[in-house]
Amino acid sequence: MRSSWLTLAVVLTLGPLFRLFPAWIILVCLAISAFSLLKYRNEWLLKSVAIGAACGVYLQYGTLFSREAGMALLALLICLKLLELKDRRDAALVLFLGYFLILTWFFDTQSLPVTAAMLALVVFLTANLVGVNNRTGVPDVKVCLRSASILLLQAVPFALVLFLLFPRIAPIWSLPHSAGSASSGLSDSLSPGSISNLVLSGEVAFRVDFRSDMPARSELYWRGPVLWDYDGRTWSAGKPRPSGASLRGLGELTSYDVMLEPSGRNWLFALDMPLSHPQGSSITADRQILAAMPVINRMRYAMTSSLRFNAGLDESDSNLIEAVRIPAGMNPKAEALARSWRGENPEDIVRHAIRFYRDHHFVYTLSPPLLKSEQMDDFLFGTRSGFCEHYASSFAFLMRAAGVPARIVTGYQGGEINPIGRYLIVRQSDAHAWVEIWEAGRGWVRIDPTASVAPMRIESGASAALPSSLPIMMGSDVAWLRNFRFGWDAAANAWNQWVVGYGEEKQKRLFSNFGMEGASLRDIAVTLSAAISLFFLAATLFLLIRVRRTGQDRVQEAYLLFCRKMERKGMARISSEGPLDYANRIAALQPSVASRIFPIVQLYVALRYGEGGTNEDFSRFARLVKAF
Amino acid sequence: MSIQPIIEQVASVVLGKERQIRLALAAMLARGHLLIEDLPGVGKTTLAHAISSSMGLEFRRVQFTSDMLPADILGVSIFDRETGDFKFHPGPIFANLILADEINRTTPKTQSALLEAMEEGQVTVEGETRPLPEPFFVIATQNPVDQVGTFPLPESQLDRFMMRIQLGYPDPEAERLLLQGSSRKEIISRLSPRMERAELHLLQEKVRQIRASSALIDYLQAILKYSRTNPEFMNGLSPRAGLALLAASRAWAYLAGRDMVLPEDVQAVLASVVDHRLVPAQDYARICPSDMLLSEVAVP
Repeated sequence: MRSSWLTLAVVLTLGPLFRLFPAWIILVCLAISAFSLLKYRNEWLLKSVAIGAACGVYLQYGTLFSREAGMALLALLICLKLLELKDRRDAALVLFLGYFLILTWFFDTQSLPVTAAMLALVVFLTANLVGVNNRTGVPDVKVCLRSASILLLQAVPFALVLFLLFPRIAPIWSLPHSAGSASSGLSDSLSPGSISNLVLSGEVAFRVDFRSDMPARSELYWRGPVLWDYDGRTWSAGKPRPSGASLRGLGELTSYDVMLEPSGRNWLFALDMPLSHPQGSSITADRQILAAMPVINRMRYAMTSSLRFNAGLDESDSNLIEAVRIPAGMNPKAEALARSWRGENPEDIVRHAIRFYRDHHFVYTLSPPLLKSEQMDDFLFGTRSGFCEHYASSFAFLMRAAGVPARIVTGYQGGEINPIGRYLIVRQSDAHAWVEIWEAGRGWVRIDPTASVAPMRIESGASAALPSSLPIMMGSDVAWLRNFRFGWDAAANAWNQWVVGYGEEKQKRLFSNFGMEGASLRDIAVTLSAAISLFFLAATLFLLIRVRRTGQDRVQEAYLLFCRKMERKGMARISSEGPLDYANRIAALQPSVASRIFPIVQLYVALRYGEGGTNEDFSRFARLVKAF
Repeated sequence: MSIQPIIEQVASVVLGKERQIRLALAAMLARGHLLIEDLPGVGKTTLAHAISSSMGLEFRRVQFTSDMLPADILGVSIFDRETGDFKFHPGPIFANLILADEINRTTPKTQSALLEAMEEGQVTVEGETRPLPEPFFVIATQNPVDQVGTFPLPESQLDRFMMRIQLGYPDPEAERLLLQGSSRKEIISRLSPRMERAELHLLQEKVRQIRASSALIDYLQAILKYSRTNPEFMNGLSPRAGLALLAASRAWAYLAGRDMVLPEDVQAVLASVVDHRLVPAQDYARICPSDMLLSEVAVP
């Protein structure tokens, strides 16, 4: 393998890091790697570029010692090392650093495809290492790749044992997180466009394993932030409310596990209404569950919810007053409409409002026309087309204007059942907003105005309700594509749960399965070293036996073949004749073949009586015998 | 550091006997002792003398006679009148290279004193053990056993010599050179050492590290097994003979410039290592044991 392979290996190790680094670092790395192919050596150039790179990293990150800065510096210096490759040791150093650098890919993502790409690259790096350490010349790429693959396959059992048994000591296994990691998914306020933007995203918000029967799809309301304040444009959560409003579950309970993808927010989603909340989290008065810390790692929590409930029968007056507040005079027509319903009981008011949407042919669309400043008037009497956030906010507005306390709940609705893994996938495209109104004697009641405009949205999801406006990948009519997506998601989910999520807890459970309940760190270390020692002992024995038996025998077999070939020419070996004597005798009898038999015999002698020789020597020997 | 200059120098004195010179040096490199069996006057002493001069070793010659006693070889404690104490006077055996001339002329008692020293590398005189110098190497010569006035060495003692070689008459060209050249004695006195005494030790170490692969050990074992199971021989080769054969083969491989032992090396030294150890049974008295081993044992 030539040095250009080494350069390629280094460039590949940069892999997905371009998502973490600013563009100039990647460009400089690529430029240096390309330049290294010219084999131009200049120590001063090297030094100045190295210092320049360090300064650049410092200016970029303000330090050299943070996670990103360290990674960037490492990447730059590996590329620079390519410029001063002198001997085998330098090449090996570059490759070892490459192994280290690809580990940092995990800072970006720990998904299955990235891991697969890493493994492929590890094979390639190892093949380079094999090539670099070959002392008998420049071997073939295929040969190197083959022996690298064999080497790594042999390492698999060892890696598995280490993965399962190595103690998960907190400071080693927890990664430092960079501050201000981006949040995805729902935001903490609602304005036109805030949810319809999400609908195009196929990203998974969370997955749900139901332990009891799964409720009907139209009942799957995943509760997120609750919004109280409306300023004429945007709904927001407003001031935190003290907890205390009562909740009574009616009917059957539904219990399930949620596997939440990192969102950068501390919201934990639960089926409307959550009765419990997981340890380490809290629940607000409006029944939203909040984690103590923003969720930056994938987390799993168990929940119990009741689909029928009485919530907030004893809601405080101050909250109820807040739930009817609207900015005065901004939407006169809408206010006038709602005021005409005043005085009737809340159920009738809801019916009036729903009928209003139905009678005026509102359109459910992902790309509604922009609204003028008096949003509600413009939507209800002008454009009459919008997405769930339009319906939820206009409905809540009408309720408030009519004197019925109302608030908006955001979250997700529905989800997709993965028939392969038998769990529910809730994606960002399932984001939704709905309304809760308060009625004396019933408490907070969920009303979903979108359902009356576009019942398909609730029955089958946004992609069914909006068939034409979604990209093809999100469509659900191509069967094999759908199956592929389900299979892929099931694999990713299993990967997340069993590999990425294999932590201290799961390890403890594994140990208790093997009767090592409450194993201490010491026990684990002893088990681990015993397992490793056994492994190496077995490997050593295996190799010893193999070298002794097959390694010797195949050499002898090839030699005997050579002897048979000579015998056919009338120069049989005397059984007590050593190889050199035999070769000399043949050479004396037939000087013409001497030049061809001596290389064979010399290789044979080296293989059989010398240090054993390499595989390559053997294949050369076998080739010569065959060709003879 | 090479052994080649020594071979050349000795060969310039002992003419036409390069193979025997190599065997003698191989025995030295393998830490073994050498028995030269031949008629008087074929150059046994000259060979021993030339080797010791070329290697810079301390050389002693002991002429064995029928009235010799062990103390004549090992040394003796004599009362010193001035100190009022016994003082040990070391015998001729305290040297690097001993030429034990006509060893079969002396009595078994004296023979065994020498042979014990050879085996142990030390001598015990009057209850006190004294180490012999390092290296310690014995070249013994003996006349053919059918000559008058000899005490033949028993098999057990022959086994202690790693090799037995025969010099034989020189071929006509070599003899012509010998007759025309100057006196051997003079030439030997002019020889200069071609190596340091410490270097011999290093060479011996190197020889020990020559690789003997398992395939070669298979061949050695086949030879040992053949010698033990076939009725041609009274007794088979002892384990000590096996060790000697391997060590001598290593040394031969080293002299041939290889770092591994080949079956050819074993075959080269086989005659000198086994012929004095294997006694043919009566019916086979006229067969040379090594020839039989060489032709009958297959190289695996």
